[in-house]
Amino acid sequence: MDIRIEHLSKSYGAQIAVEDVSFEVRTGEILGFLGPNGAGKSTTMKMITGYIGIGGGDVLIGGKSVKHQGQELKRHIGYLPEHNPLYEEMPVMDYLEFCAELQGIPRVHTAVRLRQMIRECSLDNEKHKKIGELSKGYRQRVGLAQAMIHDPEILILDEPTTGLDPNQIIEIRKLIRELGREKTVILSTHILPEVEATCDRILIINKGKIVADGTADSLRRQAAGQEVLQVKIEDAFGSDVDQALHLLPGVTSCSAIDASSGRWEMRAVPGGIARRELFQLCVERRWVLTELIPVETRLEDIFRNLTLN
Amino acid sequence: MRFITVIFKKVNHMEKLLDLYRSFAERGRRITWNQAIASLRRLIQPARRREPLHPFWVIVGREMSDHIRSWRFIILLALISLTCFGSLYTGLSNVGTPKAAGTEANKAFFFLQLFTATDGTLPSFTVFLNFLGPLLGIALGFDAINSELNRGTMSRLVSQPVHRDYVLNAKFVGSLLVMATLFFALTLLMTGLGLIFIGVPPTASEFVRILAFTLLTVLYVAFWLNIAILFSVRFRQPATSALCSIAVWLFLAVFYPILIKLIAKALAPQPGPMAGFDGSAADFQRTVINLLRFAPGQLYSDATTTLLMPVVRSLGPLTMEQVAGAIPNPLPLGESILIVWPQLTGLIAATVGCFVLSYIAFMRKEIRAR
Repeated sequence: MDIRIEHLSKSYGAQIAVEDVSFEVRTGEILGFLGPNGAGKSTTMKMITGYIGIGGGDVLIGGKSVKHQGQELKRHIGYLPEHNPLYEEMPVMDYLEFCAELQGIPRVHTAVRLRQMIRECSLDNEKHKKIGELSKGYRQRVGLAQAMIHDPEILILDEPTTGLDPNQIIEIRKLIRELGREKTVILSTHILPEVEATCDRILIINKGKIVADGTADSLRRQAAGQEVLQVKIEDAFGSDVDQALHLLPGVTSCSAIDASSGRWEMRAVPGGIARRELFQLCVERRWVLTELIPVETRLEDIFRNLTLN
Repeated sequence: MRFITVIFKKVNHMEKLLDLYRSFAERGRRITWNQAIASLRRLIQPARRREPLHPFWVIVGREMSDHIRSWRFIILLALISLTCFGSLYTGLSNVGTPKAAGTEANKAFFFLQLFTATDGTLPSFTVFLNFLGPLLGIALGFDAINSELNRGTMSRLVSQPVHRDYVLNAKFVGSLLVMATLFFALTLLMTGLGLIFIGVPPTASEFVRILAFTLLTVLYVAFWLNIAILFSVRFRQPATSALCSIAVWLFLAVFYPILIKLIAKALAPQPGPMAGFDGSAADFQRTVINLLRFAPGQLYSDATTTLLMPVVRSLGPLTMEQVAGAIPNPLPLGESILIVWPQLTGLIAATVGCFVLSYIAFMRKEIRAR
C-alpha cells in the first residue's frame, strides 16, 4: 500500500509544525524520517496515522484519503508512537488481546496472532507481567507488538529502538528489514547509523519543511562537493611532503594530521585525479605510500549541515 | 455412504455436516480423523467466535475488568457489603417488632422490613445506599476520561478503528454494568439471607418491589456516575474532578436541605387562628418539599420509601379531609410506581441530561497526542 503526502500542513496556534510537506513512500520501501527535535517528524507521522487531525493538504493511503476514509484506513496502519502510552495496569497478554479485538481480529485468530507477536518481539518471559512492571525496553517491545498485531500493510515507527539494549536493537532492526520487504515502513530515529543500516531512503525534515530526500549514497554525493583523502607517506621529510602535496594538480588543500608519523589529509576535486597524481609523485620521489583512505562524508555531517544552516 | 447420508438427513440441523461429507466423498478423498475433527470444530464453534467482537463491547469489557481489579472498587465493595450486612443484622433484629411493622397493613409486607427496619443504632439499608451510592458512582467515574488523556492512552485508543463516542459510551456502560451487578448481587444476597434467617419467603409482589428498588438504586448511582464523568471530561486533573464531584454531592446531600429548611423557617407563615384551615400552611409545606426534590437524594429517598413501604399513599402533606375515611390498606405495585413516577422521571432526566452534557463536551474536546 503506497502512501502519498500532498502539501501537508499543521499549526498549533501561531506555531507552524509542518508546512507544505509532500513526498511518497512505495510498498516494500523503508523510509527513514530524520530531523532535529521539534522539526515536525512526529506531527507528520501522527497525521498519517490519524492520531491527530490534518491541518492542510491530504494523506492518500492506497489512493484513499485519510481525511475522508480515515476510520477504514486505520485498519491498515500499525503505529508505534514516540512516547508509547500503554495501559500499565494491564498484563501484556491482556493488553495485546485488547488491541487485537479493537482492530477487529476474529477471536479464533487472536490466539495465533498473540503467540506470533510474543515470539517475534521476544516477550515470552514477560507476557504475564503487568506492563507497569516492565523495563523501558520491554515496554517498547509491547508497543511494537501492538503496532503489528493486526498485520498492517503500513508500519509507522517513531523511534522504535529507544531504550533497547544493543542485542535487542539488532533484533528489531532485522525485524524491520524483514517487514519492509512486503510492507510500507516509515521509521523515525535519531540514531543515524540505524537509518543507514535499515532504510532504503532517507528524508530529512527541518522546521516543518523537507530539506533532503534520497538514498544515503545520493545524499552523500550531493553533500560531498570535494574528495577527502587520508594518506600515510613514509621515508620522506614532512616539509617536502607538505610542499609537494600542495602543488599536486586537483588538490585544493592539505594539512598534516600527524607529521611525525607521516599522516596527512588532503582535499581535492572529485574524480580521482589527485589519487593518480599522488601515486605518481610517490614513485618519482621514492616515497613509500602505506595508506590511502578516501574519507566518506558522514551522515551526521550531512544532517548537521542541513539542519543547522 | 448412503447409510451416513440417511443418518444426516434424519437428524435436524446437520445439513452442513452432510454437505461437508458429500464434498469430500465427491472429491474421492477419505476424511482423515484430523480433517473430521477440524470440520466438526468449525461447525460447533459458535459464530460469535468467528466474528470479531464489536469495538464498543471490547472497550466495555476492558472498563469492567479495570474496575473489578482496582483497589478503590474493592474498598468500596467491602464498605457497601459491610453496611449491607450491618443493615441486615439490624433488620433481622427488628423485623416484626411493633415499631418496625407499624400498621397492620405493613405486616402484610413482612419481608420488605428487612430493607427498612431499624432501631436507631444503625441506619437501614436504603439510607446507607442513599449515602454511599453516590460515592461509588463518583469513584467509578471521576477519572474516566482525564486519566486516559493524561496517560496518553486516549489518543492511542481513538487512533484505532474506533468511533470516538464509543469510548465515552463504553466507559459509562462498563461502569453501569459493574454497579448493576454489584447492587443486584447484594440485594439478592440480602434476600437469600433474610429467607434463611426469617424462614418466610417473600411474596411475588415483595420480590418485584425489591427488584424495582434495586433498579432505582442503579439509576440513582448512574446519575452520580454521570456527574463524575462530566467533571472528568471538563477537568484535566483527576483530583480536581473528584473534588468537584464530592463538592456537588456534599452540597446536595447535606447543605442544600439545611439551606432550604433555613429559608423555609424564615419565610414560614405565622400561625394564626385559621392556620390549617385555609390551606396556606399545606401549600407552603408542599413548596418546601418540592424545593427539596431538586436534590437527587430526596428523589431517591421518596421513591424507595414508597416502593418498600406499600402503605405510603402520598409523598406530600395531607389534610384531615383527604385522609378521613381512608382505609390504610397497602397499595398495589402499580399504584406505588404511579406515586413515585415524577421522582423516577426526574432521576432519569437528570441522568440523561448529565450524560448529554458529557457527550457534547467530549466530542468537542481536542485530543492531543503526548
